[in-house]
Amino acid sequence: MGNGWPGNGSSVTLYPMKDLSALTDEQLFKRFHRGDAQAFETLYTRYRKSLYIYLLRSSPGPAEAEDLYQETWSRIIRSPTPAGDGPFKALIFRIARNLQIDGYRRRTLHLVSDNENTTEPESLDPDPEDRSIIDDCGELLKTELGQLPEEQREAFLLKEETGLTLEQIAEMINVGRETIKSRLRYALKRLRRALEDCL
Amino acid sequence: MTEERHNRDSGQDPEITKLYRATRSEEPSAELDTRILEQARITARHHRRRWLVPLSSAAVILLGLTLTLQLMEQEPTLPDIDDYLSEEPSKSEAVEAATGEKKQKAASPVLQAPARPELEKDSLRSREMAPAEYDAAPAASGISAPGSMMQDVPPAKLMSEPVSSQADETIRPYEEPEAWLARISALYEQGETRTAIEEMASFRQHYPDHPVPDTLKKLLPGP
Repeated sequence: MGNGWPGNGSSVTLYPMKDLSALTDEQLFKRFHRGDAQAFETLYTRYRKSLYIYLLRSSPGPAEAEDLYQETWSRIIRSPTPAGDGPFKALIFRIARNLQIDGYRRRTLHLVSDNENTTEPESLDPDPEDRSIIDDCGELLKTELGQLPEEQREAFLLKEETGLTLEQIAEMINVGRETIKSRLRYALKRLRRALEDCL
Repeated sequence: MTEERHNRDSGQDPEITKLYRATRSEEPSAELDTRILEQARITARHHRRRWLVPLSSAAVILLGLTLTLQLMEQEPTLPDIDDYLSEEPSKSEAVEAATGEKKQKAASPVLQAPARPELEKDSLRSREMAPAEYDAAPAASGISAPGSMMQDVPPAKLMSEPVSSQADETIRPYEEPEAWLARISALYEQGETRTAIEEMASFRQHYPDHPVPDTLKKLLPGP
């Protein structure tokens, strides 16, 4: 039984799998730590898309997203203990987020040291002409998402991609529940305004 | 209105969520998948090995313990030599007869040390020979044949059994008459008179017609 992913146009075929789908993420992760590679494949199947999209939407470009994606999984694979605090999905997204923050810091330092003459920052809002080109609501949403303040975008993406509760997200990024709720509310308000014609 | 409020509280907007999910078409490349899964398989193999070492060590220890316990349970219980000697002669003879049979069945590979092939051959030959033939045999086999009975003990027996060992005597299987007489004579000379008498009685029981040297005749029970 080949095991490609639904909706994946690639020709990747994984090894035949035992019926591990009924197991929780944490059980699968423990099994992987006991040497079960198929348990990892099941776990990977569950989070490959959401993690990738989270990184893609919050990174400067696809190349950075791919690097971060691979590094996140690599850290999960190498992690010495099977269960940290909280659910597995919180762990994997926390690792991804931390890597992203580290990458952002490195990039910022690089820019400051290399560019003495700082230029005007690019305007976040596209020109009205550009906006008229984006006729697809989905594309518009992606664009608007990219233009949200970083913290609001992060709150939105974590909510959508992880399915964690506000409390869990707040704990994951070390802020209060009300803070994350507020960020999310602002993000949704802004998106709703931008997508008024689509909704 | 209530639903709207609930959504606001939980940070949800179903319409935006629906639209957002419709945009989720991107996926990692097949190459990326392969790289990550390959890394996971290699690591899983290491994890398996990590469990294998303590597991196999535990299995070896368990096996060793089980074998030791089994061997301890199967170890034959030998009669206590002191008890045996203190018993009355008639009773000890009966016990000896019984244990003698057991000892013969138990085949003595553990009790007898391996002899050199040529000597073992001589010993085997000597068992098949009648006493009279045996007397003539040493010359033919190249072993010196002095007149003394003590020196007529088959070489394999001399190598494997110390004459003075009482413990050995109690577990000694059925043996050749000449060797037996030599051993009784040795016991008598060492002052083990009682044991020598018992051995003599046992000897007579096994070999009623075998000639006994004059020096040992006094150890025989009276008529």
